[in-house]
Amino acid sequence: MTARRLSTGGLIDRTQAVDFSWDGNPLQGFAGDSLAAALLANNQRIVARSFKYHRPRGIMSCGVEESGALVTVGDGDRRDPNVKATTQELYQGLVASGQNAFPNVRFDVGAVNNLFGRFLPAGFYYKTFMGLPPFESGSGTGYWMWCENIIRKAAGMGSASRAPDPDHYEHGHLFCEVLVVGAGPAGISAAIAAAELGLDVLLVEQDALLGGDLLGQSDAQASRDELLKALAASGVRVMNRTTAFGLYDHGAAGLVERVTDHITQPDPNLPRQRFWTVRAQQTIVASGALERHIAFDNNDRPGIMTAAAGRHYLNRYAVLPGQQIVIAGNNDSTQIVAMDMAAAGAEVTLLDARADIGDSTALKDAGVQIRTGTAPLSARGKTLNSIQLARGLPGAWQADEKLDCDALLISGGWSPVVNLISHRGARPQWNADNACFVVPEEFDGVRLAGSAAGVWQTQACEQSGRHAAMQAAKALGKTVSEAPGVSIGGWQTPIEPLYEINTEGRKSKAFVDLQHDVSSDDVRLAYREGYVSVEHLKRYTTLGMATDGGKMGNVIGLALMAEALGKDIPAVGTTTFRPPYTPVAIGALAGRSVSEHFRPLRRTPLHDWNLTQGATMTMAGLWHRPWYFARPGETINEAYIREAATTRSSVGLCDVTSLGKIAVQGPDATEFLNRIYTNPFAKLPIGKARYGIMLRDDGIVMDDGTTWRLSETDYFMTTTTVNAAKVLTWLEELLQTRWPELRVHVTSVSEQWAGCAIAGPKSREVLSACVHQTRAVSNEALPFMGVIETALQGGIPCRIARISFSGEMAFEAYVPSDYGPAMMDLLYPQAALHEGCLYGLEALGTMRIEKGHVTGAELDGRVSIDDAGLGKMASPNKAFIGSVLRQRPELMRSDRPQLVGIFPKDRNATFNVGALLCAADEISGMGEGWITGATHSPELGHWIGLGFIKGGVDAWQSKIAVAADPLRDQQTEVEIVSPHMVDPSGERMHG
Amino acid sequence: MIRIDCPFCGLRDHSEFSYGGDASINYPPLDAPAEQWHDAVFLRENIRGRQLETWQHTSGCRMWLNVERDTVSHEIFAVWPAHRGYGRVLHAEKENTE
Amino acid sequence: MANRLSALAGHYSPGRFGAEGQAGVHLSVVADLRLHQVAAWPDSLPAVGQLLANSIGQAAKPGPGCAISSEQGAVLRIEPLKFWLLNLDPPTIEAEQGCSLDLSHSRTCVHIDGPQAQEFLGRLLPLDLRAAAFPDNRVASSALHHVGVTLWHRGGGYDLFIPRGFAVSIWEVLHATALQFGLEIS
Repeated sequence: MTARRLSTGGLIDRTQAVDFSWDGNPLQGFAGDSLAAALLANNQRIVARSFKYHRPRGIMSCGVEESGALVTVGDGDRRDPNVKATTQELYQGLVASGQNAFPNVRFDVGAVNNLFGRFLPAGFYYKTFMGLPPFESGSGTGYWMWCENIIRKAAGMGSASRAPDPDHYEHGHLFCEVLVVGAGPAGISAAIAAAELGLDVLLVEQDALLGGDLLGQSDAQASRDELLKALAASGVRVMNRTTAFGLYDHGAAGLVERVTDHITQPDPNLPRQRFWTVRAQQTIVASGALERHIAFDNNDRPGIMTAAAGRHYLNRYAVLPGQQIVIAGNNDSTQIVAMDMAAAGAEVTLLDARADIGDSTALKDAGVQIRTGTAPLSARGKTLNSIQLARGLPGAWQADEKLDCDALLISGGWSPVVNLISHRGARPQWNADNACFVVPEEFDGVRLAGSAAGVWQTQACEQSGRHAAMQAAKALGKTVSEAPGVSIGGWQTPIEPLYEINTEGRKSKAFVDLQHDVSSDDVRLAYREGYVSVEHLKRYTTLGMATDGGKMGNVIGLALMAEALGKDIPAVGTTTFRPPYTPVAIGALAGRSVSEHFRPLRRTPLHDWNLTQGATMTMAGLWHRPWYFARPGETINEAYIREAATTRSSVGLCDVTSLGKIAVQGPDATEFLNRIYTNPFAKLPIGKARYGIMLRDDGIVMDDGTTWRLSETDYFMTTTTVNAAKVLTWLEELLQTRWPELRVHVTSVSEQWAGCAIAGPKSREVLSACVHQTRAVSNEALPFMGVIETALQGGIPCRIARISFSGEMAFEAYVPSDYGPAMMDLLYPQAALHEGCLYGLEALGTMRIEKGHVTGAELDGRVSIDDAGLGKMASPNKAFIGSVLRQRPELMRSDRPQLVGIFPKDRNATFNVGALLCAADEISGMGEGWITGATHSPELGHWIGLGFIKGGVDAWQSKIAVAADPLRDQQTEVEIVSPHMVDPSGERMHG
Repeated sequence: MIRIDCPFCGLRDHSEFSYGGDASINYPPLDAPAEQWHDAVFLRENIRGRQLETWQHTSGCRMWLNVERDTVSHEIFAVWPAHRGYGRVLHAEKENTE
Repeated sequence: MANRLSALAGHYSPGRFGAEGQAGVHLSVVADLRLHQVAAWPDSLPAVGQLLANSIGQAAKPGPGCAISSEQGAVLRIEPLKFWLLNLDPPTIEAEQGCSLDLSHSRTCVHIDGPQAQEFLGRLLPLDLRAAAFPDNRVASSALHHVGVTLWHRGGGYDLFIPRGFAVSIWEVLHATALQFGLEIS
């Protein structure tokens, strides 16, 4: 094959030479080239090695259906494997290399696989390497695993970079009335027609240039220019380099826009690609049709490509694929290819499998040699240098003479690109006259136009586009003039099916799916082994599962299976087309939600203040909360022990802003609270707070919190941090779907208030020094569980409740968020006067475990109020959410795990959260319980824990349990004690 | 992607909503017998085809909605506010503007 | 009275960033937001709405997803039964009529302006911002980068109300997205 660049013609810009590198060799092309065109112009014949057999491969097509020219583009952290050279735009400095070969694609040691082809057919993975003979059965797994290690290393194609992606990506949202996919003659005509009716139209095109098939026609320059001029004047929004990769429910489409993949030095402000979600009211898919190849012996040799691809290389890129060109096919579309090649100066022979190809005068006048009733039987040469011919009829071929050639352009027929409409559920139907699958014209607001609808001639495609636009406009309520539809087809002489060429009994390596090295023999193997359904055929052979999605070969595979089954193609059916139509970078789908923006970070108003004070943060839901405040040189353990001890002996301050806060307002607020909490709320006085538990409908505990009564009709509810959103949604659900008669509004005020817990024996002193009126927080003015609305010094509004999670005398003070840091600047100096400290989640956890206060670690969705030892909080005098089902038999069993405290028998020992509690003589299975919290207790001087165990404290009075931690290979003997391990009577809070 | 026509906000992506549950369930009074609560909480039909669901417009107007949707095709046939008072308010306003 | 410290304090500085030439996007932070929610019951909605309209000297309450404004303030209809009142204190509402709630500290408000403001927002919000769908004085709540926000199309630009806790995170996304248009922060 001697491909070369012609000195004139094409749509490339010859004033802009482009330097690029291929496998380390400097080469040149022109602006407007694809990488494949430039390689072809430089006569690079072998550009890849096939997946399994490592056979040399060349450029086989001119578009997204490429199965041969898979290369690696870029280097370092921009290395991108498995790029189709046919869709990669050439740019100055582009670096491309062959892949899946050692040392290179031209001389690959991996070709040895080809010699072992016999042992590597489809499905070999399940059958071969199952043990060395004669030990094949039963114990063969070891040997197979050994082979598998080697196979796994050899598997795959290009190698991806392991470095972080240096580019960024983004998402975008678009809205339009009509989305047109594909800017070929049909798509452009449809877009213009729709716009002329006043519709808001978006036209997307995967290529850099608009025009579709017009780009590959030798005489279409003028008509293309005219169309583009009309398009520019029409007001249609046009996006090129943008692939519509999927159509989804309700008019949604997914697009990926390649913003900088064609640019040498991308602007760092630009994303590399954008993933757009379009919401269209009507969609017109003018995605064209793709040419099929044909299965025959060695049909994968470099030098063989589809006929229309050859034409595109000639007319768009001014690259003549060869000097002695044979064109072979079964349909009329090859004739114009032959004409164009001959006009460019090549020696052209046209083979057509049909006996009659209509009027061939023009062909003969152009100097084209014609042989009807002839097809290629076998290709010869490591790169193509000749073919052997077959004469006669399908099914009865006879070997014929050899023909020298350096390029073979084949056309087995055309497949309308129906993928997108099939995403919506349209089922393709076989059209025997045109030997292709087509889809009904309209499905779910999506219409096909042009070759995607099986229309072959250019003018007919334009008309088809206009028709689709009229239909879409009508569906949107516009009055339109009639634009007649166009029937499927358009060839002079009918196509005759041609899928495989072979003579009787001849051994042949004929590929069906070139990217996955699936041969026609593999299809027949699948049939013999019973994998006859099209879904099994696909998965057993991997036909159609490569990055080309079987675009060139699927129909051949179906035809061969149909033949084996003795059925026709429609009876075999098709597999489901699924997005994406072409591969989409995962980065594009992630958009900006990567690294620290993978999820949004929620900061409390005290965030920066906490960091200044030396906080180490941890995640609580989406929030950052202070975990501990290590002094210089302190470990986390030293820090939390100091913080907890200081709080209990003096005073500690803790940022509690992240707790959920909900305003519950309205004349029926009291009734509402009384229905959702297990304990009585009907008579909560104004100026008091109450700890409450809410259950789910099924009787399991949902959340706990403290609700303050601020007025007759105004309540301030708090929830746990991670359940805040869930509780708000639950309250809204109850009010809107079950109790619409209640006049209650609930509104999140989590962001409105910054909160600080002030805990410890000195807490009142500290707070008194910070409030505007000292006496406002005296024991009389603010008794235990009391609530006041007052002000801090400087006039900062402040609401304070005397509530305690730590078990110490404690208050929670809330100020409007923007005053948060100002509040801390008042509190902390006062705390410091008493040698108090700041404490974080770790110390908070320590103190609450000491007290046996439950959190989400215990209330994990399996636990009832009785399990948690809070059964007394369930009022017997009222019905509430969950009150009935909490008494179902399963939740009342006496052997249910109950909340307990845990001490290590050896006070110096420790255990982990998540360990299972087992009877000492039965360390197995799921045990009798589990540990939910564990910490060193500064108060008790040893390790303690909280957890659940069957029967509770009473059942384990004199028994030793074992905390079993098989994952960490630890076992610790433990005593089961009351969960209220420190100050069980709660005196400290009531002082 | 499903798009839901919120009666307050208009047509929006499903990602703005949270799925609720079965809208055909009538929850009994809080003190109803256990069998009624059991049926309301634990028994569900698994419908292939049209079903009634609740959704909340969590990132939008926070309204709870009843939605009639086909579980196979995702076609949505009707959307209306779960709270009849909200429905009255929005209906009245729509009439006034038309 | 102590000063209010905005969620974005210390997290941005004014200046010109990103693409050169005319800035396509202008961002500024609205200081000391004054925002109250007023909620009505289904039967009292017309009356409460009218009361709020009167409080800013306007004739009729805003319909769903609409805003009315005057020099005295603005009323935004953000939910079927809920209004936001900007820049003035709410009138007294009896419990039988409804309830009010101070939310002045719960949101950070970023003003977005510039010739490419709409295109910029199209990278962030799944909202139809075309002129016919979202004209001046329309209000919509939606999700921006997984966070519930409210957008008000006001006088050619937009006010974006962000839950205070997410303000820095969202600001970072706004900033990064705006660079390609040329960003001016005032």
